[in-house]
Amino acid sequence: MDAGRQVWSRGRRSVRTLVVGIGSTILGDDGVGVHAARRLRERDLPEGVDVEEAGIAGLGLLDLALGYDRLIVIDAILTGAAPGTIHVLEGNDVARAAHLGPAHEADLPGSLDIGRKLLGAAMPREVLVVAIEAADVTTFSESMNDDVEAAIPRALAQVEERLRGARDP
Amino acid sequence: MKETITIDPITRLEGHGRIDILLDDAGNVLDAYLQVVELRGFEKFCQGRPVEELPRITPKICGVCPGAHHIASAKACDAVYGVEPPPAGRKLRELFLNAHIAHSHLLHFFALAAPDFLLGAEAPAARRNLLGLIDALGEETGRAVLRARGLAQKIQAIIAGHAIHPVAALPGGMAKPLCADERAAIEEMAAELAAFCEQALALFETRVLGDRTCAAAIESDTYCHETHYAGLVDPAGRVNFYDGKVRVVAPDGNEIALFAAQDYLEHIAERVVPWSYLKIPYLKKVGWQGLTDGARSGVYRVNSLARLNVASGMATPRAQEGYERLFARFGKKPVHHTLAYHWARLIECLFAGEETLRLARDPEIADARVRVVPSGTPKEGVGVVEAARGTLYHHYRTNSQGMVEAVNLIVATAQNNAAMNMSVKKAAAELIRGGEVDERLLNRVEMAFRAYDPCLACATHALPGRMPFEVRLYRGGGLVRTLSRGFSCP
Repeated sequence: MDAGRQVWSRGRRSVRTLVVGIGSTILGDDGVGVHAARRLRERDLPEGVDVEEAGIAGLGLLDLALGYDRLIVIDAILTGAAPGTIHVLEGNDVARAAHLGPAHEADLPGSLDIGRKLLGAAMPREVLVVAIEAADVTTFSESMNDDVEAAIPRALAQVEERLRGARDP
Repeated sequence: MKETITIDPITRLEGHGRIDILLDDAGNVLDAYLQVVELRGFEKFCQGRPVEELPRITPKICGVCPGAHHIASAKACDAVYGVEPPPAGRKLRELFLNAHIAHSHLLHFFALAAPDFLLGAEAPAARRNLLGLIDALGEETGRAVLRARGLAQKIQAIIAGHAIHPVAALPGGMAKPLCADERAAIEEMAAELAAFCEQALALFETRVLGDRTCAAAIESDTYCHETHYAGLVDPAGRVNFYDGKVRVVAPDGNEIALFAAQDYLEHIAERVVPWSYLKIPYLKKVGWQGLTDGARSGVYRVNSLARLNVASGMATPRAQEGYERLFARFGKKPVHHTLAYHWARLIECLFAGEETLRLARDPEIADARVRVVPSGTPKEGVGVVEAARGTLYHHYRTNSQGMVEAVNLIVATAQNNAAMNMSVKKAAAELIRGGEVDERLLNRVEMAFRAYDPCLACATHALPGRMPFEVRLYRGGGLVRTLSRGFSCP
C-alpha cells in the first residue's frame, strides 16, 4: 500500500466546495462555526459540497481542503462589533477570524500559500470566511449567547448564496 | 517615569498572550511579565457529567494538544474505576500518543523554531516563517515536512477515529482493536515518519549546531536558568510519554523526588500571582521563593529538555545516540540552556518516531482484547502523561454513580509559567539597553519563551481575533509609539 497516497487521498475529484466550521463547542460562542456547519449539513445542499468540522486551522486544514476548488470557513470573530454581526472576509482578511490567525503553526492564508507552493493545483483557489461576532469565548459552556446563536441562519444564508451562485471554476 | 513595551499578542504560538516589558528612565528593563487570558468554569462545566465523557470533552479544551488530553483523561478514568487496560489497549494508547507527539514536535520545529535559527533571529519578520524556511531549505524538504506531519496525523486517526477529535480511549482501554490491515498501514507510515524524524535531528545538528551564531545563542547565558526539572520516567529511568513515575531533579541533577501520579498534590502546589490569571505550579517541598532560579527555589521546568534532564536515557537506539550527543556537547547534566529545548525536542521526536514504529511492529498490538470494562465503584483518580509540552495531570473525583464532582487539571504550559517569565525577563534585560528596541530585538526576546513551545490555548485559549501586527510602547501609562511588527506567520 502506498501510505503517502493514502494520506493525501482525501480530495474527491467530484467534490468542489468544502465548508468547514471551526471552533470549540465547549467554549460558548467559540464553537459557533461548528454549530453552523452542523446545521448546514442537515440542509439540502448543491451537489459537490462537503461540510466538515475542525478545532483550529493551520496546516491541518490542508488535510481537509486538499482536492477542493473552493473553501468556505465559518468561524467566530472578535472585532468589538455587536455580538451576532456577520463579517464576510476574503483575501488576507480571512486571518482576522478567531481560529484562522496566528495559530500554532501558520495562519489560513499562510497555510494555503504553503499548500499551493508545495502541492500545486490541489489546493482551493477561492477562500471565503463567514465570521460571526462572538460575545464570550472564555467561559466553558455548551450554549451560546442568544444574539450569536440567532446569527447562525444569517451566516448560513451567506454561505448558501455563495454555494448557489458559484460558477464552475 | 516608566516605559512599557507590550508585545501583544505573542506571535507564533497558539492562544492569546502578551508580554509587558517595563523600562526605567534609562531605558533598561525593570521587569517583564507574560500575560495570558483566563478560561473560566471548566470544573463547573464538568460537574454532574458521567466521568467517561471527559476523554471526549477534554480534547476540546485545546486544538493543539487534543491527543494528550484524550489519553491523560482516559488514564484518570482508569484510576477512578480502578481498572488497568489490557496490553493491547495500553499499547494502542502509547502508539497514539507517540504519533501525536511526533506531529507536535515536528510542527513546532519547522514552523516556529527553525526560522529563528536557519533564517536568522534578525531576518525580516515577513520572511522568518515557514514559507521563508521552505525557500531556504527547498520545496522537497517542505513537502517532506507536510508529508511527515500528515503521516503522524493519519496514524492517530486510524487508532482514535480522528486526530483532532479522538474518541477511542475509554475507561479500561480502547473502544476498538486494530485490524491487521490497519496495523500494516501504520507500520509502513511509522517507518517513513521515523526516518524523517531522524533527518530532522540531523538537520538541527548540522545546520543549527554547525552555525557559529546559532550555537553561541544556544550556549549563551542570555537564555539560561538553573532550575529544577520534572518529567515521567519508566522503571529503568528512561523518558516515557505514556506512563511511569514523575522524577524531579535539582539544578545539580540529583533526584529529589520520584512519585506516582496519585501523589502529585504532595509534591506540587500552585501559586496565585496578582499579575497573571495563570496559576504557577511549584515544588511544594522546596518552597516558593518567587520568580527565581537556583536550588532553593521551587520553580521547575517541564517539556523536552526537562524530560531528558530527569531521565537516565532514551528507550530507543537512535534517540539514545542523540541524547548522548546532547549531553556530551554541553559536558554536563542537567543542561540549563533554554534554547537547547529545541534540540531535546528533536531527539524526543526521533524517540516518538521510533516508538511508533516499534509499537506498530508489536504483534500484540492487534490483539482483539483492548478493554477491561470497569465494574468497580468509581471514586477518585489521577491520570498523568507527558504531553508534547510537558507533564499533564488530570485529577477527577466522582460520586458512586460515576458523576463528576471535582476536576483538577495541571497543564504543561502552566508548569513552565514561572520559568517562561524568568526567561523573558532575563533575555529582555540583557538585550534591551538604553531603551533601544526594534522588531529584531524583540524577536530575540520572544525566542526565550518560544523554546518552551507554550500552548496558551491549553492554559487559556486561542482568541487573536484582531490583527496582531503591533508592538505598543507606553510611557507613564500613555501610548507614545506604535511599532508595526512584521507578522511571523506566513
